[in-house]
Amino acid sequence: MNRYVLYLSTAILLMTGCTSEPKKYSESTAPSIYPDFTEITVPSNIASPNFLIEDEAHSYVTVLESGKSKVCIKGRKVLIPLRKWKNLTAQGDISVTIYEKREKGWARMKPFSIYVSDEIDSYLTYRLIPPSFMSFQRLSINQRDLTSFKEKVVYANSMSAADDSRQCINCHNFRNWKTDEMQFHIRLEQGGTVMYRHGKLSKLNHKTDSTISAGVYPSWHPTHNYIAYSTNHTYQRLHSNHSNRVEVFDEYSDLILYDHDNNAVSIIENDSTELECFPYWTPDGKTLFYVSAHIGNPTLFQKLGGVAASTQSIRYNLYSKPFNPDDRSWGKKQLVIRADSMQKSITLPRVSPDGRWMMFTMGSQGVFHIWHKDSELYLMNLENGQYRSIDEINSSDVESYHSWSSTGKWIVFSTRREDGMYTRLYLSHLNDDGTFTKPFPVPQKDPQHSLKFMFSYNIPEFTIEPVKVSARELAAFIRSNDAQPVNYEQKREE
Amino acid sequence: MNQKKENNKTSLIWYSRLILPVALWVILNLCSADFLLKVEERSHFEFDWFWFTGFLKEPSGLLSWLGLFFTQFLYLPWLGSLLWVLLLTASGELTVKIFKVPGYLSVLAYIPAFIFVVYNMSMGYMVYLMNHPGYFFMPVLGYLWALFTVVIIRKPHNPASSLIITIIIGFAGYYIAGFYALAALITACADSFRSDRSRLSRILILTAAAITIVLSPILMVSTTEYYIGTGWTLGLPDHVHTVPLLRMQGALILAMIVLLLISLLPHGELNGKKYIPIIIQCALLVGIIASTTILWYKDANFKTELRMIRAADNMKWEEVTRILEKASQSQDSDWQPTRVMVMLKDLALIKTGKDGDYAFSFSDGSCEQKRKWDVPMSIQIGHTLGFHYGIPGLCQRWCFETSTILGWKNIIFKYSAMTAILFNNTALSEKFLTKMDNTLFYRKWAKEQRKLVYDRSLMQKTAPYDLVLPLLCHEDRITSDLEGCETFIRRHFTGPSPVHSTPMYDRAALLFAMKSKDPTLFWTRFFLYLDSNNPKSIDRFYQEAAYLFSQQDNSDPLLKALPFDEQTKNLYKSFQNLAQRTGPKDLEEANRIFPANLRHTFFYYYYYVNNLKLF
Repeated sequence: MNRYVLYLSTAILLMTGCTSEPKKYSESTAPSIYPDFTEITVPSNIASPNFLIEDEAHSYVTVLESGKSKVCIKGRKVLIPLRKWKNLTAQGDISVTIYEKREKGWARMKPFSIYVSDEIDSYLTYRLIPPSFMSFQRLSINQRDLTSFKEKVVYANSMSAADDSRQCINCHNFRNWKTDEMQFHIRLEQGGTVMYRHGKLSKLNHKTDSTISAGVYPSWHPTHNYIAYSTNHTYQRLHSNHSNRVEVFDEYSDLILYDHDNNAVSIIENDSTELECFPYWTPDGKTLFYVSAHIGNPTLFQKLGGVAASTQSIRYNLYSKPFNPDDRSWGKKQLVIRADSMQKSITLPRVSPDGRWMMFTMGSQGVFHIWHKDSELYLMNLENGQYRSIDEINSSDVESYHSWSSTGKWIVFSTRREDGMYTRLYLSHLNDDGTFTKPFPVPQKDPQHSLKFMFSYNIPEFTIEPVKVSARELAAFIRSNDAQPVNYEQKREE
Repeated sequence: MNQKKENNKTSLIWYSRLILPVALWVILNLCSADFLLKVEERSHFEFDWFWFTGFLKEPSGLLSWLGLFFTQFLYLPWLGSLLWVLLLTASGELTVKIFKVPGYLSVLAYIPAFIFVVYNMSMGYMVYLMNHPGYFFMPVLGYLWALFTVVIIRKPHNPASSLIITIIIGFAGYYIAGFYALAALITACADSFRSDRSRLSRILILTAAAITIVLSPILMVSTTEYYIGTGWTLGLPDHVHTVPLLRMQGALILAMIVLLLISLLPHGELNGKKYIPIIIQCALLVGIIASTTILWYKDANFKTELRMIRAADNMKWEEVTRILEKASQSQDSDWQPTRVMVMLKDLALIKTGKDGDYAFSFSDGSCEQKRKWDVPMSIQIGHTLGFHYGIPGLCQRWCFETSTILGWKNIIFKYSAMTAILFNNTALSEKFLTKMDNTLFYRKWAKEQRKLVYDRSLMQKTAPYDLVLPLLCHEDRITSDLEGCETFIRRHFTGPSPVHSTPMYDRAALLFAMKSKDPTLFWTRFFLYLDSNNPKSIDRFYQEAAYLFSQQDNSDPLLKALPFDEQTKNLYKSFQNLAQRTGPKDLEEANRIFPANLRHTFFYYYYYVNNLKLF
């Protein structure tokens, strides 16, 4: 009997223990790993944060420990098996020790921790796009299961159109982090706004004679069947000698409201002296935040060359506008932050699901901050109106699009911190005191993925469930249906 | 006696099958090495697992990968072309063997190979638009796969085994070779009907092939993000820009139809008169050689451009002008260069400091490139011009546009890396240099460039940066290049002067001011040039322009008093005399009337080189 116990214990030890963990070693400094997953806080359900040890050594052993679980991985590429990783996270914070074998024997690098926190929404939808200027031959909206490394195509522009007439697909958006209601736009070939609502697909053309374009940047109303959109005439110019490379700007822009039940759009804001953009609802649906740049007399402004001639001095302020969702009436707009007086420009206001915080992007000028290296993320406490630069997550390069998880505990944001060109997605946890934990990139199966992948990730949006319509269904629908017109209704003022 | 004659006949066939590949290899190297180098620089192959797995995501990806593997050897044209010719030869020889093509028709077995030769070598400017990775070698590799498929399906005689093998090789083949595998199945079916296999076996092969041909693309399309219409033709170059699909795919489909027809050829030698096989053989050979010769793209300007671009990319600036000079000497007096040539020539002269003495000693003009489809100059050399003219924004733009439209290429990685180095972006430089580290022939280049990433002081004395930095003195401007990259560069140099200019920049700005023919702009730039360059004597063409503008009615009398060389004054006098006497209406007439010494003056450019079609 004892013999069997011994066998069993040995077997368990072999399975859980680390026979390769060096016994003799010297102590050394902190290891250099890529991506930098040291001292990060991860969601308890996230996929394993595989990494590469950058230090030069003959051989490597990495030991991950949490509670009674211990995982040993040999080699420079630390690929943590998903099941073992889940076992580790189930037991709490993880200690990571890396041993490096050098000329004089093994060295134990300074251990680091990976802290385990709240779960994150399991799905992240984003667009994959090469960081080109105008070409979009290869575009797809993809969905990543954050609890594993599975990624699927939601829709790709190669599915409905031939190579030379590819569509631009953009602005995918979900209602309340669920996928029963989803929308995205298709420009050019077979264009329109594709709406998926409770199993039914439709394609709409929001452009009317009274609006300047179809809907662009969307915000789905949390309680009623409305979507607020900006309408934009967007252009871009080239920097001749600047690392920002491109300047994207709106010559004209307004805000509209689409009422799905009545299939009608109405104007929210179309002040000719202003360029309004990026609407976003508060969780109660009674206030719409948006940004707007003052251009003064529009005729004179256009005579002077319009935005194209003054891209460096166009700055957007933050506004809010009360709304009564029941009768669709609007109150007067209110200035929330006057950024232009600080020589700053605000974009992408997004309110946390509990309505306590608002995150926005602020740079020195312009509306398209993904091309502005000085753009940073800011957090505003909506209870007291105080806001600050989120220094703990900002970098010296671009921070731009950002989204809250459904619990409001996690954020995902796009950044070009790695190489200044390719946009990558980073996650961070919001602490109760309004500070964020050290941001880290969305884990990838191959830790060198980011270094080798030649596409940018943009418009990251969390959902709690996978997209319910297949890419094939979407493609078949898009191919065989023209965009349907919408009606135009007068704005209702309070 | 009969045996001897038979031997002679066989020898003729054998020699022609030996001589043709050798001749093709020699011609490729003697006449088209520049083109082969262009094919190579517009491809990219990495020895990297991550990169390889990218090809596994789509059917025919493996064939693409293999195509790119071979394409990299075109870096050494003799080697790449040798591999290509060997593969082509193998395709012909194996066709003869596998289908037992009778001797008198054996040249027919080479027709697919020659279609591939014509397809690639008739490309001309289409080489800039080819977006299918590995396209150069893919047809012959796909064809070889098709032959392999036929052989494998032939093996089992048992009906059940035939069915299983056909389905396996069909589906696996589609994943490996796409269209070529589907075409192979059709050939295998035809082949099975000529073999001695049972009727059931044939029917099963036919059924299995039909199922595979119909289902494999549909299954693939239902699981990946591909347009359903392209499922059956995956592996063939796709429609791009303005080039019609027929041009991209027609010849390759034809080659596979020829394979099908070959599989149906009668076995056995021809009875009757002995000379008939030789006549047939010779006729086929002559037909092949003639059609290949006719269809081979031989435009002299294209060749000159390729050589000039290559010299510019390798920073051999003297060679750039030498190539143009040589090319223009072999032409008539009314010959005009293309805009690509002009832009490269001006660039080379600016780099070598010879713009003032040589800029107008070359013919100017806007000869249309001999091509059927629109190939913007930006796609051809936007990256080269942007980088070397000191406008990194333009270079970067066209690197990224090209990579998005046509895929990443060695030349694009090179310029992307160099631009990132110029912008002092270490991480991005590393990203691109690592891609080049993974190649066979650009590792050394990447290693050299990496030194600059970590020691920027080396840039001042390392090509090409040493001659780019002086042009990089301009302030950033936000502008558009939608009118074309030449117009963009012209506007760049005729725009506001930099606050801290350099002698090279001022010379470039003066040259473009002269090209604008705007006297006010000229004088502004002229004095800036004098100020920064402080020349002992004013260069010939600057003097000509200054003299011409000083003679205009509204010019400042002080300008008339500038100390112009007697030679300039006399030349102007001769020019005026001839112009007044003959009064040519346009450039064509002027080219006939004016002697070379007067044609190659700024005066001539000013009065007769008008309405250039810029790109």
